[in-house]
Amino acid sequence: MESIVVWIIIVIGWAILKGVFSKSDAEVIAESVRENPFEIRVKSGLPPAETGLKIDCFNVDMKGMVNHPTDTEVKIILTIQDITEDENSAGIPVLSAVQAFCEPNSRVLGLRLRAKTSPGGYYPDWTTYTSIPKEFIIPPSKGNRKLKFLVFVCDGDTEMDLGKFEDTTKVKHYASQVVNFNYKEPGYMDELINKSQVEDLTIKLGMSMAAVDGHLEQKELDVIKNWAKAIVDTLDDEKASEKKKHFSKFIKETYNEAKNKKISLSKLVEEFNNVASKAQKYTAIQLLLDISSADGSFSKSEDVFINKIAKTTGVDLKTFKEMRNKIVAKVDNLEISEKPSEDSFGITEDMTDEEKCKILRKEYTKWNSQTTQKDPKRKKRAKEMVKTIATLRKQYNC
Amino acid sequence: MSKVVGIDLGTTFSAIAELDDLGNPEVLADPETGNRITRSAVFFSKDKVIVGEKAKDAIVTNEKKVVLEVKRQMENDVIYSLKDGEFKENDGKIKGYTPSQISSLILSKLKDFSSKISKAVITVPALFSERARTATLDAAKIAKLDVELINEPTAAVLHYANLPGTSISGRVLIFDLGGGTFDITIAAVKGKKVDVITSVGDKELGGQDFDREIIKLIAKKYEKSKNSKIDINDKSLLEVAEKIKKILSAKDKVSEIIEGPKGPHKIDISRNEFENSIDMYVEKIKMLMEEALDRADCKPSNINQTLLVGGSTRIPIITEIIKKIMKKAPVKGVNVDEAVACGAALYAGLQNTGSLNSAQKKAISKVELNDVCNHYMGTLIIVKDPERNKYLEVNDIVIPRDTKLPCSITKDYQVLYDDQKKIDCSVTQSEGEEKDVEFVHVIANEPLELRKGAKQGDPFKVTYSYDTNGNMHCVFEEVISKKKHELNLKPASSKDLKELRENLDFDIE
Repeated sequence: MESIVVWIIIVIGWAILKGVFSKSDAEVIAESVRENPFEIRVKSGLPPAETGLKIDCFNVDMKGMVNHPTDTEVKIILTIQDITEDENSAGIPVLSAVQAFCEPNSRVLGLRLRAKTSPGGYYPDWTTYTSIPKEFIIPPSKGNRKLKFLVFVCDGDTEMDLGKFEDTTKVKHYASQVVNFNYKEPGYMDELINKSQVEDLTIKLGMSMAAVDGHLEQKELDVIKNWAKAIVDTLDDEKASEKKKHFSKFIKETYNEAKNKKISLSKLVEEFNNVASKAQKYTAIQLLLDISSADGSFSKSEDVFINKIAKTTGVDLKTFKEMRNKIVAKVDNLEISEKPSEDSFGITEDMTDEEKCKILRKEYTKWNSQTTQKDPKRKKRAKEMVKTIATLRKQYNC
Repeated sequence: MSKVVGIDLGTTFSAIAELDDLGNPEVLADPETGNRITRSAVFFSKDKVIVGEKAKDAIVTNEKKVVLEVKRQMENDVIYSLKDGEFKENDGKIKGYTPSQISSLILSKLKDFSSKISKAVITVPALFSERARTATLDAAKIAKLDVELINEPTAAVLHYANLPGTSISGRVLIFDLGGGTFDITIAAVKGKKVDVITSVGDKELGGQDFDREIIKLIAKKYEKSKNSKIDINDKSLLEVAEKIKKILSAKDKVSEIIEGPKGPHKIDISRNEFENSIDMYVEKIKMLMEEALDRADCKPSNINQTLLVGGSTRIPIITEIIKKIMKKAPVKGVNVDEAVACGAALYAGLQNTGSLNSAQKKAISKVELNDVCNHYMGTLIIVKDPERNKYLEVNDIVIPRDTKLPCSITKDYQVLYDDQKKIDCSVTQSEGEEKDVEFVHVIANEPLELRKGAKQGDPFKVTYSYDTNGNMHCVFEEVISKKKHELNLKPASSKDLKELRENLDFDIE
């Protein structure tokens, strides 16, 4: 979190304190801590203008004593615990979808900040500690959650692991605040609970994808089978045998449903969105992309289908675009239609022509650098993409 | 006294220049024809090689033995097969000539325009890959030339900045549209000091592409009238197309008799039709102009002059586009075919002052050039994507594009897991700021064994140092054990002369 600037104002220096009061050093500090306890406040809304961010965040401010008896530096650590199930418990850690907001070795949300201090150091006014975009927060479960924000002022060498301290004596001050948060996606615990259901729904989505051009090919079916096999391979013998049986039966049934056009895509997507986590959604989209390119071509109907699923599942369209580009670059035949092309270039209807032109120009840089690729397939694809971009640019009078 | 020369090794035409006794660059003419630019065409006749306009003329009788546009093949591992009359992937079985060998024949021809050449500077497109640069150096080695490389638009701006009585100053945009490649450079010029800010380009955009579009127009019109197809890959049509393009640069309409399978037919092509046929290329040019301005963080109004380089800038629609985007007309006044070679000669003088007389030294004494890194240089790392809950291999940029040279940048990484045995020391190159490994070129990848018992999170440092001659030194270091792996990525000839000359035993005419 290098970008977050924290203004530490050391108003009362040790020397001043000593000069003004005639009490002992320890007494002065104790009194100061009592009068100016370390506090935090968490507010929902846009972050401070200087961050340049325009997304809904939890903005964490702090004030009061951040002093340390011996060191000139402290580490200020933030973690969030979900206490929905039991408000008196320590809670369950909240995860983050972005590495920069995670602890170094896990997905647990944990921010660390080094700050200079002195034996009498404190923040006289509310000072921004950080702004956490709400979309980066992953609680254990879906729905209305009670999140406890905890900020600790610790020794400079303190580390937190999975939201816990190894040595709590290193914590010098702490403060907390509970906020309500409605999480619309399945949480990470839901991910475990719903795992089997999501796997089945992913297979069903894959089968619908394979059937979208009117025929189910063996190569496409093989991609689905291999995907299922990879899951079976991670299990121990007993569970593997059970899972294998289940998948074989399920794939057969779903195949017939897809062949006879008995799968309702809208229902399927709704059900999938209800139970799949973000990570599971990306896994499903990757499977769809692999199926779409199984026969060496990427057809218009496949492109339309995948774009639709990406949009309705709410995955990050930029990440989706990167995943899709990998496939587009490799297939033998590409029949992408214009509209989905716009979608996958990240162009939306509410953009001005100028914005659209700029996006297309950036895409041009990406694909044009591939036109001298050694691999003839990739070279051909890159040239087609450049042509599509140039055509779209003409449409927008760039 | 030995001489230093500058060579513009172009896709369609090439030129050689040297500094005259007063230090001014002077393009050397072919002593046989008097032409100051030489067609980059090579004809392999039975016992000798012909380079230049005559080689192109041989297309009519010996199409397969004439090689054109070899520059576009410099980054490919291909062989020109005289039997098939085309470049084919080098599988070790095909007999023929490498792009370096063919380019060396053009260089040898140019070399003969002068005498006692001690050093040469060859120009290459700004975005030429490492492989293409190495192939160019291989070509020079075969031609027995001791060379350095410079980017074409950089050479051109050097020439513009050094024109006697020049008024070029402030931020300038060099628009270099040649026969096969297109480059835009934005530079800050103060007196004779040139600071390159950014270069962008397209290695496959030039007059030759426009000629091919004209051929497609011809074929379409011939088929419509005669109900018979013309082979659009017929090399002899290139000459007709080039002629039509040149006429359309001055007139609104042109008529040409075309020989086809069902006899001759008169075909009319209007300038409008031609311009419509190249609209995709025009769009690409516009995008690159926008990109250059964006990269240099400036608006058209911040650019004092637009300087033209390359024969294709004579096409009216090109000047119109420049006027439309830059909101003012480009600067004319130098020979657009010769500017690059002249700039290269100046640079050759700068790099080899020991070979210059006192007047030449004085003339270039104030010339100064500061260039930038033309690509993003990065390394492949593994990161955890918490959103997808997956480890991903991504490209991490170490030296950003447009970083002023020389530069040295260190980035810190970590060992991924306990007891990790090795780290792949990879160096990547890309034109865009790419994270996606599929969209970058891996130009080096060698392993570094880690110390026994390496722990997850142990620090690992990567330092790239890039000098002004295009040499990059990369150091991958395990901090705790101080174990290092160093890579020197120097654009240098890749093989020995004997190997490079294989099968090449010709007299050059």
